[in-house]
Amino acid sequence: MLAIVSALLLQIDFDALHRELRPPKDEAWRTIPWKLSVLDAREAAAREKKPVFLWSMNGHPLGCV
Amino acid sequence: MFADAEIVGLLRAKFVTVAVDEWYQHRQKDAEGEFYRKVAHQGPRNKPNETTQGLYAFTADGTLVGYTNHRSADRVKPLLKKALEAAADVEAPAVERGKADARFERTLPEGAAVVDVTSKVLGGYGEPKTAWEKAYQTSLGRDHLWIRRDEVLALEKGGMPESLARRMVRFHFIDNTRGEPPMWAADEVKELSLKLEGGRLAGKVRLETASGDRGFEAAVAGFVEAKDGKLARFDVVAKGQFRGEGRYTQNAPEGRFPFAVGFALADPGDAASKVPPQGARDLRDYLR
Repeated sequence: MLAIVSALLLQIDFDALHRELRPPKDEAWRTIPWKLSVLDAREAAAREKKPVFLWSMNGHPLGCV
Repeated sequence: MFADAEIVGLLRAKFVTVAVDEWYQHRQKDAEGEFYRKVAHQGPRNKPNETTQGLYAFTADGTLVGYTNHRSADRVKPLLKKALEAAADVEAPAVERGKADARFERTLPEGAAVVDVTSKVLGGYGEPKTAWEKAYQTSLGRDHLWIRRDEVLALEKGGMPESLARRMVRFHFIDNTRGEPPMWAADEVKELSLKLEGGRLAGKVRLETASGDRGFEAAVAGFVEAKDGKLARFDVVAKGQFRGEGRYTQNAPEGRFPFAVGFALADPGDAASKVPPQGARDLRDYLR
């Protein structure tokens, strides 16, 4: 069985592909402190006297495309 | 829009920022849903059975300042600047939260593990005609995989639970690089063999719709470790040939194209890791 496992692993350059599939570490949108609840956002906005920016998508913006 | 440093700077310093999958908030019958609809229905997407997706700027009392569904900086910047002018000295009475609508609560089960999932089309596209097309062609699909505590314990004992293998292939071996994808129904899993031996995961999978218009055949390989009831490593890739597209993921490459899915432990400090899996909209089916 392990021979089969190894063969499959070798057919693909595992490390290179796994790295290619990882998101870049320096994505600008990740530096923004996103809340996940509009009520939480509203409370913070009232407290901090700031407006709210809401990013609404079909499929979560932080966990989709 | 996030390529524009001024927009990122404004959002970080001058706004409270929130991101939602509107499938939930649009439907929830609780304070969260009511407040969301109060804001969204002031905009142009105000019909109950249609999407409300877009970018909204509003003041703390729920008054909509502006809306756009465009992502370009020249559309978003004016929206932000208008919101900053409007937000000064707005009084917002407290909102009674009450009971959350349990039908839409998605909390990570106790002791469960979260894994980042990304996907990518590795080839097969023609030359992009627009910058937008290029962005889609090179994009990473993203999601999270939830692994139940009992499945983590099974991995620790050295076995690959059938339930976890099925969840991975049905809900995460999907092309979500261009939008919301169709998942695989249980009977569309035609072949599934995933074995864990000595910390090495390997196998193959074949998924296909009844009509044959969509399919994915892939080899799977990776490294899985669990210790003391916790998942320590889940570095896995699936690579193979995909074909077809979904209603919201159109413009896939023609015919069969190389496609890969990657898995890695999520960073618990990352807000994005709290986002439930796309497939968790049907939580019972997802976690079964």
